[in-house]
Amino acid sequence: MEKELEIIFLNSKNTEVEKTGGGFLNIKTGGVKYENVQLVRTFPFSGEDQYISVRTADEEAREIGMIEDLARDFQGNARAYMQEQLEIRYFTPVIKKINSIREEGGSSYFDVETDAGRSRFVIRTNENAFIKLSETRVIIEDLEGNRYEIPDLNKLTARERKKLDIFL
Amino acid sequence: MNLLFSLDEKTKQKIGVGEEEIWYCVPYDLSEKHAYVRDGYVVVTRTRLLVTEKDRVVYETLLSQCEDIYSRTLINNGILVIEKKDGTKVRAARFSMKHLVRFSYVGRGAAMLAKGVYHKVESMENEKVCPVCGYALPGISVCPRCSGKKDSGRKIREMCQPYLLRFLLIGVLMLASSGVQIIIPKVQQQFIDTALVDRSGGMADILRFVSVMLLLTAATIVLTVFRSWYSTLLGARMSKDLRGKLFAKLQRLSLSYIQEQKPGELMNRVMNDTVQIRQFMETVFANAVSEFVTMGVAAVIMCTISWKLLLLSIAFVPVVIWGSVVIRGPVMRGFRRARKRKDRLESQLQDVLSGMSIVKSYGKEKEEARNFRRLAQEQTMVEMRNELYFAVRMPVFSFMLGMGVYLATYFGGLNVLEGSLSPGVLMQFVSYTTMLYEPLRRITMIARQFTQTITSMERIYDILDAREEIVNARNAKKIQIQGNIEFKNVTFGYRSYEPVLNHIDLSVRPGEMIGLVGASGSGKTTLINLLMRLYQVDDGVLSIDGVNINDLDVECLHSQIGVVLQETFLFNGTILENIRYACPEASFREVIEAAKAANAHDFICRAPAGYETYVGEKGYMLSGGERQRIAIARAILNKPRLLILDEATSNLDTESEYLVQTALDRLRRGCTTFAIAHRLSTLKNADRLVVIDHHRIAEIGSHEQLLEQKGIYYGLVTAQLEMSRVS
Repeated sequence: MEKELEIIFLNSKNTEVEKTGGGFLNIKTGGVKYENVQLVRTFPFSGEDQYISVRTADEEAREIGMIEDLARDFQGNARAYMQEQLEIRYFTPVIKKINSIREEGGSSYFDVETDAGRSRFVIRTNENAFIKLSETRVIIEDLEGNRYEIPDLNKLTARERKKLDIFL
Repeated sequence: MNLLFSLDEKTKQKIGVGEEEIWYCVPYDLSEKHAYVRDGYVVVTRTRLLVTEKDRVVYETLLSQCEDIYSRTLINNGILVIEKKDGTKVRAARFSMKHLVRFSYVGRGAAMLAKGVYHKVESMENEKVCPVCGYALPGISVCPRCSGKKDSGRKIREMCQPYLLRFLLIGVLMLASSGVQIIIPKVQQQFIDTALVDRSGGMADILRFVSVMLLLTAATIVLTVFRSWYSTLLGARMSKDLRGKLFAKLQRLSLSYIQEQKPGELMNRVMNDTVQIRQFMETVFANAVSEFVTMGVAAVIMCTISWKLLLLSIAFVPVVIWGSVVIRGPVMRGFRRARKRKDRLESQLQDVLSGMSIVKSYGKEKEEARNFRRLAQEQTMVEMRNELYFAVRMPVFSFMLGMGVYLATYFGGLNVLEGSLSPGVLMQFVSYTTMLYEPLRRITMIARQFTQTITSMERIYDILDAREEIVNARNAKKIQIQGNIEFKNVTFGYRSYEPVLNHIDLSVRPGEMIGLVGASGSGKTTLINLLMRLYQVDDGVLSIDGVNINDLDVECLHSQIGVVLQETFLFNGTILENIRYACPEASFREVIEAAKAANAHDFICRAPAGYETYVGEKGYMLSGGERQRIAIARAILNKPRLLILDEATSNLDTESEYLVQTALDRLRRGCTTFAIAHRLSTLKNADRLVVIDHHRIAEIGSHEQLLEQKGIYYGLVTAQLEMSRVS
């Protein structure tokens, strides 16, 4: 196989991970140190901790390697640091409870409880702010570009589902 | 956009910036730990940057220690990054998309302060959602709700103002037709009570009654016809005027506004939302309003006849109203659901039709057909349910309202037998009862139409009220362009937090040809878009012949620019019309001369109707090279001073490339030219080449100079040579 087509897999055996004072991540692999690397989920919806692409900090964002399975291939602090980086890079609060949805002048005003706290946001009622990942899993994108997830519509109460009904 | 949120004095004291002037103060709303935070601010003074949480300072740095400060976009959130002079990098604050744009400005501002440039960065961008009340702002800078009044009233006024007289006329017609309708039962009552009941009338009475009734009926018909006709006319006129206004406004709005909209969305607003207004005038305004007038008058008369009977006859009204309110929710939801299903079905159809060749080549027809059937089935189910509602609702409501008539007739009939009410009056009363019900029967429909119309109006005004980014300055200058072009520290991004061009400095002499080189996405086309003033420079100055481009008259500028793009768009019409697009007054001779110069004359002569061959979407098929040459003829005819060629010769075979290239060389004479080309050989005539890399100018110089430099350009040239050798 051609060299550049090969996937380089990173794991605790070939990679050292360190957290910087400023909250970023440095790694050392194959004898090279990379500063402030970026972790990119290649399957953010269906396999969030699998096939994570580790990339350089510069604009080119060259791939240093991939982590096939974060939980399996890294342990202890290294894993925790990486998890933390992923948590910061990806912010999609999960909606736990829908307090109210009010419709006015073509916009719908949501008031929800998420796993990151209470949030109020707005979507345009007639635009497709709802992205259906499956029959029961939905992503909502608000007017400002924030995204919220409802992992399982069936876990909402019938009342809440009814409020969402018109968007689905 | 607000970059200076105010802090109260106490907080200022606590975080220790009591004396210092605050340059920027913006809220951040996320913690490191996947949680929203409140009362967190990033405060920038002349010398320091502080991150606060409630009244505490959680991070602080002297700006003099900072190398760079910027915001970085992550996935659905962003961070403020500070690069210190000692090489370390700090994540100072984290925020949701709500504050992303704000932080990009503040980052830029703070970085300038760190470099000792004391220039306040301002943001002209609008908030998407009002930071005070959370109201969605439709691309407008003032929140209509916070500024005191909800301005639906203003919009209605504005929309109706030009037609006041017509409204007045229709109003008079309405009153007249209501009047006639009210009189009819009264006439009947008199006839029954005076002529029929005691059999005292004669043939003359009957004849008189019949002719009066005939007259009144005829009057009703005439009045109704005129009322409906005028309303419809007025609706059509309002809708047409709005459409014209919308179209004119859309042309004045910047490209960025138009590109931000979903495809079809603007079409919708121009075509459908305006129709909604017409429909409202036709159905609701023309009939319902006068029915309500009639209803009011009828109720008053009924009350004078017998308030008890009135109460009886409207006994079921509350039930019907309650019923309408209860089922309104499900009905609305049903409608929305049906519309969504229809959209989905349509987009699926659209998707498969446009990708038909792929569907076929992978043998997925059956699967797609199954998919489509399923979606169609779902839609049918929803619509069936909706229709069921309608089918059941109307008869049930009518029956319940009819109950009122029966009650009134029963008790009224008793009264007649007792002698306390005359038969004529009972008859009159029952007639009024039906008038009372007519508008009620349709009240849900009216309510729905009304909300739909208000929504349409909001959407229309959304565009009409949108801010025009590219407007002529107050004393816009009209100049004859010589071709001196100067970019001074120009920065621009389609979204301000993602600069596409950074600190561009470039000075071009009249008549010079500049070749723009760089990877796709590096900002070449953007540079040209700025020059055409399709967008406004964010920072820095772009001037033509020493005049800031923002001070130039837009029309005057555009009339002196010639453009040939990679794909030429021909409008539906003849070749002649397409060539004459920019100067419709050009003579046949001038058109032919231009076409000859563009190497287009010969193929045009071969076309079935010469210069009057119909081209465009459904017209005569022209090859890519032929289209290009028509575009060149169009540009030549316009005698441009500035010429812009964006990949004008890519996608052509060698022969047509030659023809296009020689045509371009003729067009170029005397023009200041900017040419973008992927294939570097087409830029061999350029006086200077400008290499754009990573949103900045990386190299400037002639072909030879750049080859000598052995930089990016050299790399590109050798790479292309390799490619051509391989192929």
